[in-house]
Amino acid sequence: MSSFILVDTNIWHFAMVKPIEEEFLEIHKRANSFLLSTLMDENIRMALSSYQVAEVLEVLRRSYVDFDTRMKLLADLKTRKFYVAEGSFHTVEEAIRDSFESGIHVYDYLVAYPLKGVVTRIYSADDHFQHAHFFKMAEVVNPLFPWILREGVKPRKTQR
Amino acid sequence: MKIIAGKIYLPKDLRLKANLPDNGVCEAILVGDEIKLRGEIPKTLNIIEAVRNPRAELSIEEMMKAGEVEDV
Repeated sequence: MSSFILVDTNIWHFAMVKPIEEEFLEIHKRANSFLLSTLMDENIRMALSSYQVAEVLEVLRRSYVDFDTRMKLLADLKTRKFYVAEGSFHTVEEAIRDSFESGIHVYDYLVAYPLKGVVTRIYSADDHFQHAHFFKMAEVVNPLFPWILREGVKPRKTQR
Repeated sequence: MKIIAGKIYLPKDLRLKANLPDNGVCEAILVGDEIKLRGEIPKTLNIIEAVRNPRAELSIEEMMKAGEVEDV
């Protein structure tokens, strides 16, 4: 049986780009191993919002991942392995409202909300996704545990 | 499926269903509450090779900057 999952942008990023510093290499190894196993598992289908497609490809561009690799990913997104959901104005409105309430930036909502009712599990190392707004729509799992990743903040390890 | 003394025993029909070989090396990956068993690596997606051999390397500061939403 197929199941749809969402893999957050920071996991794609760390899977495809190696940090130079030894102390952060563990994040790359975990993200890379996780993404590879997910891509190769025929029973798993990955879902992305059209906003996230742009976000992943832009982050990879800014990280100097070559054009050919980015175009290969874009071509793969059209295959049966993936499902890309369009974001409607209604979804954007809901994202803006909930973002205002939680203080979490709207981009995380634009990644997840178009996939409401589609994905059963969200894989993210960003602790913003531990908010009720997200775990109400799907189970949230951090495959990079104990590492926590957040935009603009240096990766850190949780104590527990 | 049986787990005895830290070893997992999978019946043949399950191994076949999961495309796992009768002999050889399999990789077990623990993700949350799931254990994923991986057998032979298929090459059905173009991106797999690039993920297996990532070439981009950046400092963590550069990676953080790449992941930020810029204020313009």
